[in-house]
Amino acid sequence: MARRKKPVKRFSRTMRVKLMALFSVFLAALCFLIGKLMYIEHTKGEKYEKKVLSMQSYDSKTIPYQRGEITDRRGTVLATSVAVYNVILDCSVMTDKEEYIKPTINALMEYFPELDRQELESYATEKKTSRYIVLARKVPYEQVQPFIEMQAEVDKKGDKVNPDIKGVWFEKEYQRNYPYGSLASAVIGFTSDGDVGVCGLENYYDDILNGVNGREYGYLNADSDMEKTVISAQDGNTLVCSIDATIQSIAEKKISEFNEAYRDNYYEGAGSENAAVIVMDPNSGEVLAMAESPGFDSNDPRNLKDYYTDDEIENLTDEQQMNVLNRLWQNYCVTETYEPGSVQKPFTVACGLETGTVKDKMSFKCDGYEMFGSERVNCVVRSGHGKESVRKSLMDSCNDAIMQMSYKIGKENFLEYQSIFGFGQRTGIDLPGEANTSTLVHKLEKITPVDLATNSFGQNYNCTMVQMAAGFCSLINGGSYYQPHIVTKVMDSSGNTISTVEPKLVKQTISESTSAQIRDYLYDVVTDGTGGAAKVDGYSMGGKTGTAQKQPRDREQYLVSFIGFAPYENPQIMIYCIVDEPNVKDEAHSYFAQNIVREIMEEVLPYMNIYPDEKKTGKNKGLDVTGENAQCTGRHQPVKKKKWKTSKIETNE
Amino acid sequence: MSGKKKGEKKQVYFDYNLLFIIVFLLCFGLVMLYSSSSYISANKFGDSTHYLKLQIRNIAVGMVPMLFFAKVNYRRWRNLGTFAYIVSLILCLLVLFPIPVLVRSSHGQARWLNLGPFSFQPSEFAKIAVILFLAMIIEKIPKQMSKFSSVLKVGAFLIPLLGVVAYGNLSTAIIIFGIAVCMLFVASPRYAQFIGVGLVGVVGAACFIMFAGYRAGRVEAWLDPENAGDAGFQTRQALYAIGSGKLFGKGLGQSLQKMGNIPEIQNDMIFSVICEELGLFGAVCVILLYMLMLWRMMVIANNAKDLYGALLMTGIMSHMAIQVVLNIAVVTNTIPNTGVTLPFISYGGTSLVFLMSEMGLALSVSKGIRLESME
Repeated sequence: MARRKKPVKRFSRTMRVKLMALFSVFLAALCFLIGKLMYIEHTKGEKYEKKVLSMQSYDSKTIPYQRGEITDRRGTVLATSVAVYNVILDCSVMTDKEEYIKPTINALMEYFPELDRQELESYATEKKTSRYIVLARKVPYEQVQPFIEMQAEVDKKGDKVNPDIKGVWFEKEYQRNYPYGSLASAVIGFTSDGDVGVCGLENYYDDILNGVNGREYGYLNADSDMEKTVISAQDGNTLVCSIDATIQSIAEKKISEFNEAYRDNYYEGAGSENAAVIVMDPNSGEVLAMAESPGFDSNDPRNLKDYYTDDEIENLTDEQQMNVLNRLWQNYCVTETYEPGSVQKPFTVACGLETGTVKDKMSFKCDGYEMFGSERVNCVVRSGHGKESVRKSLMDSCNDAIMQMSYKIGKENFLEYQSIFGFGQRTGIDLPGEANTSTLVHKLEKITPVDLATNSFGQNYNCTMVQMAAGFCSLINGGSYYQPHIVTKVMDSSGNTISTVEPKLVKQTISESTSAQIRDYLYDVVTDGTGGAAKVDGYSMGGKTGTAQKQPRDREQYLVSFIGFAPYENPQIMIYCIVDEPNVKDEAHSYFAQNIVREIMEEVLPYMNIYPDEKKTGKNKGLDVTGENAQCTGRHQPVKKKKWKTSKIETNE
Repeated sequence: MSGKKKGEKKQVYFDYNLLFIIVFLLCFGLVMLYSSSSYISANKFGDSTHYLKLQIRNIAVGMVPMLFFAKVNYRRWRNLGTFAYIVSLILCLLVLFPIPVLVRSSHGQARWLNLGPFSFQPSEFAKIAVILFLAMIIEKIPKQMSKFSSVLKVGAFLIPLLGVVAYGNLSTAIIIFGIAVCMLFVASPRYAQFIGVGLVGVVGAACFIMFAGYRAGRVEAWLDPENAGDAGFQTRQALYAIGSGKLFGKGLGQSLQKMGNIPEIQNDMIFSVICEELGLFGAVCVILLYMLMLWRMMVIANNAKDLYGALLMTGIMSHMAIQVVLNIAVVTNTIPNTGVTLPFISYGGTSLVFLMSEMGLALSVSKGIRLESME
């Protein structure tokens, strides 16, 4: 081996042997590790494979849908869903490195000043491992956007300007927003949790308004490859409703003006127990406005501060509070029943004319009352109107004459026509909670003469406003009964029409000629009769007043109303207003309702491009919602407690 | 080790086998690095080739010293051992002080030294310095190595460096200690004492691990990685990767665990991705490749024309072997988690450059072999 001249130090045999030994040790170690690998694979392979697969499915994220909008007939958005963001802190990311904590907290405080610095700092020390802390809820996009921009900001080199802000992200969700607050709140309703409709259209059309959540997830395909899939959210559909925001706001404004004008007038409280208005297009059954008082703010439906003092709210039990709220959220026009009063009279007359039992030429003698056994039913003028023609009986709103007509009509005809006009049946309007009045009208086998007589002028049975309005539309439009409805069109989220709701002609109630006759009578009611206060100068109008005595009769409480239309020849608009218990000493006067109607019509008729078709006479000039100048406003009386008088009279104006 | 007579003609030997294995491992390493890091680099840097590009740069940089050391006769370095040792000691000391511009920390430990555009870990340099230093000393006094006391004396020289390195980076200190023990073991004719030293080393390291605060959690994680919470996370995920790979793996690029589940996946844990994607088969092939490499180094050592070259080869081989064994042992949870890279495959600039320098040395030693003297 040693063939070298120089005595070069060589790698000795011992060393080689030892190197061999070392190599063997390494070899053994590596073989041992191979064994270990096999062992892991053999004993835990299945289990670990499942673990790995199970970890993959975590990657699933919900993409929220946007609930559809509700717009009025002109596209004004009444309800919409806006994206808001929850500020989420992933504390484990923020505390991953010490240098992240301070900049992140500083940035959060800068962009979301409502946060509490101490709280954030306590998260950094106490909740280090927490991955999901909601710092703020429902933050608007405008506030979140600058933060996102700041985080994404890069300098010229492409490096992040703020690399140490970590662990903050935003969770998108939608919040229901009502740009006009309380406008048409009872019709539109509101939502809880952003997508659960609680009342109104929000509730009735919940399914249509709601979309389907999307999802972003990964899954393993047949080759165990990770596939990422995004199913985008399906946004909800938009409802276009027949409500006209302008008309609605006029109606609401006038009602609240009325309620304010009579506030604390006779007893403490608003100007009336309830006041409500329905405006409809008589030729399609579309509801143009449906207003009531008091309304609520759809954006904040649980706030009672407008109606009660803080102390009162404190004292309410949860149950009481819920009852108060439920009453507040109800839509008076469809859920409440009441005795309509004399607005029934045109129906009775129409029934008589249609069945031929009452003729235009007939005349009746009003002596001021009718006797039913020992029961006396009074006319509005106790001394009697004297001789009354059919026309004049409506103009005077004479109970006696109408009662006499009802004898001629007979209970079979009367009840048949009441049913034809829709009383006792739901109208099927697309709003939730429509009252069932089938038990609140008389049945043929049980009706007594006094029932028939009182029914004929609108007492002793109950109806809802929407029933009355829908039936009245058919009286004046030539006899076509359209189902009242609110929603006219459904559109998808990109604005394509999915379906339109055509006016639904349900039945023919009366003939064209009877309808014309009724219109003619009702024109005179407004022009020369009891409905004069509702007249808008320059417009031909028809209508009928109503002053219904409420149960119990001895309390002298009234629900006064006016139902009318314009123009007289070709009605374009139908309006029905009720005022339940006006806050005055002497409630039994329909002009409380007439004043509201006149005030609304004065603004709505020009808005609807309906031109004046009569000469102005100066009638009702310069009146406000209280009908100042008109007699017996009942205002300016000292505030005192309400007294219940005892009397057994049913009065109708 | 079959010797071949090639006549009287003097032939220059060059170990192409070793070169081939090096190049193969580097290329294979790039493929695996890309596979394991593409997901996280795309997430973190918006560029799936971020780590790949850096590693290619590292290889390019490493090529320079490798070719240089391969070209230059290794015997030139014979007297530079002490110098290298002192320089490495100074650098390792330097890195312990938090000098703002000069020292960069990562994972809570200062390990990097900034030098212009590059930064490097002095502890990596310490490994090669120790190899050069020990080879130099042993070559000078081979006879005295039969006395164990002189073995200990030589070993004592290393204590300052070991202490300084261990202060900042225990795993590197263990590797340096291992290299030293292996080299001294080969140089000394004794066995029993070395087994004793080995045992003392293992016990010492174990004690250190037990008592060093930041490693305490790692022991729990080692004993029961599946239920050890955060401390066992990395090991647990690596085990999942190995277990789910089965015999032939999920296929190149198909790892699921690389999707952000395993921390440091492109670095210490890259072997787990090899197991997951290429399966047991691929992993064994890689280990066999390392075995082949170690064997080639042993052949070169045995046939080196002088003791110095042989000792260098012993050191280099020990270094390689220790890192491979430790890395795979960590990934398979055979020992507690400690950061050791897998030579040529793991991402990392400094370790790659110095490893390639060592390979240059090895090739240089192989060039000294005379074919006629080969056994």
